[in-house]
Amino acid sequence: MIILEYLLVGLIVGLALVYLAKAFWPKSKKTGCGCSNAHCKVPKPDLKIRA
Amino acid sequence: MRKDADILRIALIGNPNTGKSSLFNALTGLKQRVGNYSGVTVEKKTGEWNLGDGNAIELIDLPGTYSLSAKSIDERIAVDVLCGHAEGQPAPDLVVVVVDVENLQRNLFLASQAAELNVPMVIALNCWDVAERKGLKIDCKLLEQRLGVPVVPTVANRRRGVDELRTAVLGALKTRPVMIRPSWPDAVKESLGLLRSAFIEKNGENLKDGELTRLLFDQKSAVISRLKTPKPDAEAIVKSAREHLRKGGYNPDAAESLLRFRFLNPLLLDIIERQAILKQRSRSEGIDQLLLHRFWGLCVFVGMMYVVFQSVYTWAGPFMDLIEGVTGWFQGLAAGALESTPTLQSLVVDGIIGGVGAFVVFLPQILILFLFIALLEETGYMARAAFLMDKLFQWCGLNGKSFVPLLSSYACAIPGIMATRTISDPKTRMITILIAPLMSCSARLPVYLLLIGAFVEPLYGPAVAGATLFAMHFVGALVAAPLAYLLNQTLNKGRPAQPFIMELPHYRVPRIGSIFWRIYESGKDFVVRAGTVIFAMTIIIWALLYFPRPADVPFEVARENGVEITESSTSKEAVMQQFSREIDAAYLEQSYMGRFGQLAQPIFDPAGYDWKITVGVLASFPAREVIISTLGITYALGGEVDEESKDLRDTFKSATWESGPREGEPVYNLAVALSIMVFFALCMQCGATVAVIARELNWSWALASFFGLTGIAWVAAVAVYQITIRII
Repeated sequence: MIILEYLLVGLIVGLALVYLAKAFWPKSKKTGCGCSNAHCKVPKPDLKIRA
Repeated sequence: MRKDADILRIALIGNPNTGKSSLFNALTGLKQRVGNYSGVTVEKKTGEWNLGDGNAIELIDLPGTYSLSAKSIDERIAVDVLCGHAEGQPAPDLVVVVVDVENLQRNLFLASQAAELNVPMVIALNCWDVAERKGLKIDCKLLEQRLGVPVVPTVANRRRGVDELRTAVLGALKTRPVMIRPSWPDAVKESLGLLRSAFIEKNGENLKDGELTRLLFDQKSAVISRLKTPKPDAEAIVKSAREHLRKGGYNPDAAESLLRFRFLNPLLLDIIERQAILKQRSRSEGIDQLLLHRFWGLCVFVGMMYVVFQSVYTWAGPFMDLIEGVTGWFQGLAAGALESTPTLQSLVVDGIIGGVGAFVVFLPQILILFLFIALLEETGYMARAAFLMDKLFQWCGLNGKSFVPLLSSYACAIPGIMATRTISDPKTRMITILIAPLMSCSARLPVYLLLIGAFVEPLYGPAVAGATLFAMHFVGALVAAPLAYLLNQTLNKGRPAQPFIMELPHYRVPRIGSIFWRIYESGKDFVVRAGTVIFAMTIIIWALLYFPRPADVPFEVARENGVEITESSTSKEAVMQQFSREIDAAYLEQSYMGRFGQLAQPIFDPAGYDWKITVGVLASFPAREVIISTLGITYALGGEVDEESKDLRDTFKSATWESGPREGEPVYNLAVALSIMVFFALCMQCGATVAVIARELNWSWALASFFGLTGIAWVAAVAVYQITIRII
C-alpha cells in the first residue's frame, strides 16, 4: 500500500514537473511562454520585424 | 484541403482608435480586445469572415497608423502586411479602410496613401451614430462617386452596417475598385521618375508606386531595408531624388502632407454638412475642462485611483470568506477520504487544496480591480490620464505615449511591454520596457492583501488598510521615475522627451457587455493560472517541503523532549501524537526546501525574514504569486495551521522565530510585512516578463533588468525594515 502511495505521489510530482518544463520551455514557436495568460504574446507573432 | 494561396485576404486598416478591432469582432464573431484609446492592437490579428457566398475570408486586423511612413513597430507591422512584405504573407486582396466619420479629412490621408499600393478598397465610415448625434451629415453617395470606391456607414460596436459592408466587399472583390490618386506636380513626378528609373529599370527592383512615394517623402524610409540594391547606393539615389524635389520648390519632408490635403480638400467639399449643434461646446469638451486641468485633473486622477483601491479592499471581504469556506470544506472532505494514505493526504490537503486555495481566495479582488479598469477604459478616461501624466513623464525623458504601456502593466507587465511597440523612439521604448515591471501588476495584489489584512488592518482599521494598498501600487512608480531619469541620462544622453500627440476619444457610456467580457477574461486568466502553472508549482513546492522523510525524526524529537520511544507501536503512536507539531516542524526543517531556505536565510536576515519567508521569496522568482501557496504549504506542513487559524493571516500572527537571538519572538510584525511588500513591489519575480523583455530587446537587457530590479528590491526591503523596526 505504501509503495502504491509513493508511486502515485511520484507520478503526480513527475507530471507536474513535465508540465512546468513544457510550459516554460515550449518546443513550438506558437505555444506561448507558459504564463497561462490569455493575452500572453510570447513568443512574438509570426511576422519578422526588421531593425 | 484549401491551400493558403487560395484563401482571400482582407485587411482592416485605419487611424488609431477608429474602431477597427470592434469591426473585426463584429465581422468575425471573435472577441478581440477593444479599448476606447489608441494602441490597443499592437500586432496583426486574424479571423475568419463568412461572406455568405460560401467563401470564408481571412480578415486581418492591423494596428492603427496615421500614415504609411511607419515609425513605430506596430505601424511597421501594418505597413508590411499591406505591402505584402510580411513573412509568408502575400499582400491582401482587398483593404477595408476604417474611417472615423468625425475626422474624415485626416483619415482619408491614409486611404489615399494606400491607394498607391494598387489594392482594391472599400471605405467603412465608422462611428456613424456619434456623427448623427452631433448633427454631422455626410453624403455617402457623393463621396463614393468622388473617391471611386464603395463607402459604407457602420457602427461597429453595435454591429450596424455589417450586412451592407459584406455586400460592398463582395462587389468590390469582383470589380476591384481603386481609390482616386492625387495628380502630383511636375517636380514630384520627375523625382519619382528618377527613383523609378534607378531602382526599377536599372536595378530590377520590384516596387509599387506607393513604395516609390514612400522612398521620396519619408526620412529614412523603411522601404530601403527591403531593397536588393546595396544600402549606400540606395541612399544616394533617394538623396538625389529628394534633392531634385527640393530644387523644384518642395520640402521633401513637408510636401506630402501639403499636396495630399490639397488633393483631398476639394473632394470633401459639400460632402459634410455640419449643423448648428456642432458649434456648441460638446459634452466631452466640457468634461475635459475639469479632467485635463493641470491641477484639478491630477486631483481627480489621484482621487479616482484611491477610490478604486479602497473598493478593491473593502468590497471583496464576504466573497473571500465564501471561497475560504469552500476551500476548508474540500480540505476536510479530502482529509477524511485519504486518512489511510498520509503522504497522499498531505499532498492533496496541504499541497494542492491548501496551496491553490490560498491563491484562489483573491479572485474577488482581481475581478473588482478589472471592473474599474474596464470602466475607466470604456469611458475614454484612460487617454485623458495619459495626457495628464505626460507632464510628469517629461522630466524623466519619457512622454505620455509611455503611459498606456505602463498603465497596462498594472494589470500584467507582458501586454504592457508589448504595448510599447506604439512608441516610435527606440530609446524611449527601451526605457519604458525596463521600467514596466515596476508597475504593480495584479499578481502582486494577493501579496499586499494578505499582509495588509494581517498587520495593517487589525492595527489601524480598514481605511488605513485601503490607503496602504493604494500606496503600495505607487511604490514601483516612485522608483520607476528616477530610474527612467537615470536611464534617459545614460542611454538617451539626456535628450529631451519627444512631443506627445494622442487623439482624445469621446467620452461614452460604458457598454455592459464589454465590461463583463473584460472581467470574465481577467477572471478566467486568474483561474486558469491557478489551475495550471500555480497548481503544478504547488505540487513541486509541496514535494520539496515534504521530502525526505527520515524515519528517525520522531525519535529525535521525542528524545529532545526527554521521552524515549519504545519499539511498541502503541507507545510510538502516542508520542507522535503528543509531539506532532514538533515532529512536523522537524520534518519541514530538514526537507530539501527547508535546508535551502536556512542556507539562503542570511541574505534576507537584514530585511527581517526567517527561513520560511526566504523559502517563499525564493520559490516566487518564476511567478511572484507563488509565495501565497508556498507560505500556505510551509505553515501547514510545519503543523502551524490549526482550527484556530481561520486563514494564512491568522497563522502569520502566531509564527515565531525558532532559533537564534530572536528565538520565541514573533516573526511577523508591521516592519516585516512592509519589507516583504516593498520587496515584491520592486523585484522582478516573473519568468514570463523576463522572457518578453528578452524577445522585445535582448537577453542582456532581460538579465540586466532581472538582476538590477532584484538588487533594488533587496536594498529597499532592507531599508524599509531597518527604518520601520526603529520607529515602531
